[in-house]
Amino acid sequence: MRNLTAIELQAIKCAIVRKEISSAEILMEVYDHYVSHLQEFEEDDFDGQMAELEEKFTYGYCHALQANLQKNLRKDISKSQWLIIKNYFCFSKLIYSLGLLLILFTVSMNLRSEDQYFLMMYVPIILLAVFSIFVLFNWRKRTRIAKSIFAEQKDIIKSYLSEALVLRITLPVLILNGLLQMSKIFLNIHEIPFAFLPQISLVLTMGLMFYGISLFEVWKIKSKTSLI
Amino acid sequence: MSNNNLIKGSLQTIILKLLEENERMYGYEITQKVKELTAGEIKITEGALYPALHKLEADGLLTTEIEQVDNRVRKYYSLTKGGQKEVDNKMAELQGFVENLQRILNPTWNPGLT
Repeated sequence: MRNLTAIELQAIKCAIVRKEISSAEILMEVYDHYVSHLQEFEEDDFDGQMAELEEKFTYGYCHALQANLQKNLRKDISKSQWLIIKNYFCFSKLIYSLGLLLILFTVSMNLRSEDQYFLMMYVPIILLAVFSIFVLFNWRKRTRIAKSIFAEQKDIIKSYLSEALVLRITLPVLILNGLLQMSKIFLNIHEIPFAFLPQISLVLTMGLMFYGISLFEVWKIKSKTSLI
Repeated sequence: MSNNNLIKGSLQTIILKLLEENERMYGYEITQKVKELTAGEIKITEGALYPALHKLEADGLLTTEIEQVDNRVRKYYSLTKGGQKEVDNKMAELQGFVENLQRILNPTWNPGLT
């Protein structure tokens, strides 16, 4: 094994940049494969071996890898989150879940005005927003190496896992907004009747809390093993 | 003759078995290990390797860790608890298939006598 020269490393980077890979995960894996492979050969064989790699890692192949990764990540996050949520109702964690439910129930029963109920519902939404900013900040930090190696395409490099996670964080807010708009359009309901506010605010707050906490746990697990 | 078609169906088993014996490996290392163990007779193509690794990871059989090597990031794969259990299943499945194949190709073959 030998160390590649700066010119050789530059040739590898140029070849990979031409593939327009945007996933930091795939980009780093392909780059590591190229460097590891080419380090095994003498300088005279560099061009031949590079051409062989180029035949294997074609533009189409790299983009298929990216598309599969994106699809798998969505499935993976959903599966992990569901497992975590199920775990909240296992015997060992049930007491914490019931505790949280009891606290929220007590709070919702003691609120008096409409504004207070809306404030209660906004708390988990604000927490989700803070969480998404945190993930985005980490995403920038963790993709720094990929961006420094491939400076020419730094604007398109992103962590697909972070992207999938941010989408997931914003999903309940989008769904809620959609439901509110639909109820206005189709059911002509412009405001929630005060009598239903305690129940609605309790269910929504509880659901969003579980959703946010479980997603945070997914992030904690994934952040140890991937680029986010 | 290219044996790529023969390997395709058992690629996941090969990866799981190698990771059981080597604890953690990165993509290129897996291709080299297979080449080394089979004296170059079997070559795992990158075209099949990475999709297989990503599929196993998505299925929860593999976990990954990132390590900085020189000025780049390397992704190591290792077995999860589920993956460790799956190795035995996959190995038994493959061994059964090989035995059946032997029976078809060589009807006089008796595994008990070998």
